[in-house]
Formats: sequence, structure tokens, C-alpha cells
Amino acid sequence: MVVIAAAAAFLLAPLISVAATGLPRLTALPPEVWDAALRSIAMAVISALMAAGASLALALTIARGGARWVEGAGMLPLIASPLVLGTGLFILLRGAVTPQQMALPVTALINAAMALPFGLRALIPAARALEQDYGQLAASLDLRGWARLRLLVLPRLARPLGFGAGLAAALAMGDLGVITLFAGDRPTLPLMLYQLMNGYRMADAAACALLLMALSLGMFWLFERGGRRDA
Amino acid sequence: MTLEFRDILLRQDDFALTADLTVLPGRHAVIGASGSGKSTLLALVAGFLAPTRGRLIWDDRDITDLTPGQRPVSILFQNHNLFPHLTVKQNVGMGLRPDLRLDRAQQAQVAQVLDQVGLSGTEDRRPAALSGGQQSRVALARVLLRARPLLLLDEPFAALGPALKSEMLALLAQVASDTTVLMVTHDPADARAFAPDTLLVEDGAVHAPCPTGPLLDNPPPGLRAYLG
Repeated sequence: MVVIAAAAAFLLAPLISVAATGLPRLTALPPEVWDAALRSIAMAVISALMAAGASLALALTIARGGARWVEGAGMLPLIASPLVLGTGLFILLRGAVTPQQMALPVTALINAAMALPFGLRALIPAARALEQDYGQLAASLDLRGWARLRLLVLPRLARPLGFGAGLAAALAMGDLGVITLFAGDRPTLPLMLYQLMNGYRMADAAACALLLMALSLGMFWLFERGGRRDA
Repeated sequence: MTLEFRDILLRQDDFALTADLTVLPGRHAVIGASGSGKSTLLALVAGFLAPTRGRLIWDDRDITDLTPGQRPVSILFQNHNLFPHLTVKQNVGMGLRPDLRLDRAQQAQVAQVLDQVGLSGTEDRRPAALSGGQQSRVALARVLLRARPLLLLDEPFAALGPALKSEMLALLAQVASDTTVLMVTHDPADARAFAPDTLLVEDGAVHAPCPTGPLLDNPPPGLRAYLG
């Protein structure tokens, strides 16, 4: 009980102070903060879709008895931090595109990869159950390709897919690892927050943090909720 | 239209199924002890398992290498015969077009066949909203629409209870009158009531069909021990 209360206080105290300081400033935030918010939302959505697509492809391969290494590949992001992956991509792409051009795509991509192990945790058992329970029925009815995806796989896996997508969206929304490597004149919301703090604009920073928190939560909720809609 | 098993061997880990026989049109029971290979036999005909050796011939056509969906076969499993997230109408419609892009005439066919099995008015419900007997009827309606000449039954009505089960078998006999049926069963009474001929499966060996009544009246030692 004491431990739970302590943990709650540890989380809630800063959140409340951010909310108290930030809320009055929310409507007075400069337009570039809102631009950054839109940029972050777009990036988070793309990251969520990439995570959902990649984890679905991996989980279906694994569920059909695909090679062992596939599962390992899906867990790989656990041991590499976003910063390490970002540095690697930075070095790889340096000659081809400018850091400015890379910033948002790379951030979206890396955060999709970061969400992969967690998304797969939920998705692999569901995909196995799907194959086990309905694989033969689908095969005997000649349900294949897009029709199988649309009428069987997506409806049955919507829940874990929504969860994985929501996680990727929330991670991408809050990312301040990768984006700093490529920082430019088009910051995302967390980078904006960082810049406001650096300029000692604490009230604006708090409002920005509040916005970030609301958006991260909202994105996760929307995706996760979307997955439950029907089931 | 006959189903021929030509010198078939199917190896699975330490189990082997052998079959070299011809099945003539009509209804057939498949009887044998647990683990004797009844379900393996059905999986072979359905195309879920490929034989190690031998050919499977339907109506003088080699179907050994066809995918399950391409075979002239419908199958009803013990469980999971319907997609729970699809409506009754959609589940049945898959018998006509798996991608469910049905035209007006096909939609009328779905409605008609649902009427035929006594399920009018349930079109837009999900399977979970139906009773067990009604769910079986939905699966039967789909079998009817698919209209494949060969029907495999892997004890689909076992969970229904005796009265409903014989009701389903009667409905099946009525709607699948010119279909060749292979029905796995544990119940000798079902075999007698539904299937003039029986395929006995013993330790992985599928025997040629023989008349059900005499076989059950005077069973060979292995079957006698199983029937008790």
C-alpha cells in the first residue's frame, strides 16, 4: 500500500505541477508549438502504421512456423537504443540525404522498430491461435490473399495490432533521442519543449509538456480503442 | 464419380497411414479407435496433409497436388466451422465467393439456402448469438452452397447431444443426397443410421468399404475390442 502510494506520488507530483503551470498558458502558446504538434502527430501516425504492418508480417510468418531467426529479429530492438539505431542510420545515410530530410522519417521508423518487441508479444500468440483455429477452415474455403487479410486476419488480430500501433504512436510522439541527432528548423513537440526549457520559458515549456502528454495518451487511446471497436 | 486411393502412404513422425481402395458414390462412415488415423485420412482427402507416396484420384482426375480450396471437397470440423467475427450471411456467403463480393443473384441464393435449413431471420447475427444446433445449420448451409461433390465430416455434431445430432444427420441426408460423404464417427448407431457402407481404420491401415450392418453385427477382433 505504502509502495503504491509512493509510486503514485512519484508519478503524480510532477504531472500535477506541469498541469498547474502549463494549463493557463496552453491557449497562449506560440504558433510554432502547434506546428510542432502537428508534425509530431503525423510522425506518430506513420510510426504506428509501420509498426502494425511490420509486426503483422513478422507474426504471421512466425505463426506459420517460419524460421526461428524471424522471432529473434523482432526482439532485436530491445538491445539497441533509439540513439544507437539513429546514429547508425545517420552514418549510413549521411552522403545521400541531408539530416533535415532524414529527421522525421528516421524518427518514425526507429520508434516503429522500438515498439515491435512489445507489439509482437501480444501479436504472436494471437496469430498462432488464428492459424490453429481457422487456418484449415480458411484453406478449405479457398480464402486467400487480400480477402484472407481483410475478412480473417485483420478482424481477428485487431486488438493486439491496435495495442502495438498505439504503443508505437506514443513512443514516436515522445521521442527525444533520434530527433536531436537530426535537429533542424522543423522540430517535433518534444524537441520544441527542450528548446523552450533552454530559453528559460518555463510556463510555455510546461504548457508544451501538458500538450505532449495529452497527445501521447490520446494517440495510444485512439489506436488501442480502434482495435477493440468490434470484438 | 469415385474416389480412389492409389497405393497411398502418409508418414507423420512415427505414424504411418496406408490406403489402397476405391470409394463409390454414397454415404460412408469412417470407424476406428482413437489414434488409428481417421482424422489423418480426412486431412489427406481435404488436402491439409500430402501423402509421402501414392496418388489420390477423384472422378479420373489426379487431385493429389491440388490445394484444399481447389479440391472438389467440403469439410466440417469438430470445432471452428464458422468465423465468429462474421455474420451468418457472411459465413454462408463464403461458400459461393470467399472474398464475399456477392452479386444480387448470389445474395438471393444465400437467403434461399438459409431458408432451406430453417434459419431465416438470423442473417445478420454472429454465430455466438445462435444455439449449437443453429450454428451447425449455418455450416450445413455453407456446404449446400459450395455444392462440392465430396463431403468430409470430422464428427461435427458430436457436441450437440443425441436428439439434435440425429436431426442434423437427417437434414444432411436430405440436403446432401447426391454427395459422396465420408463421416468419422465414434457412435455405431450413427453409422448404421446414416451410412450404408463403412471404412474401417485400424492402426493406420484404411480398409476397403464394406456394408455397415454386417460389419458392426460381426466385427473383426480389433473393432470388437474398440466397440466393447
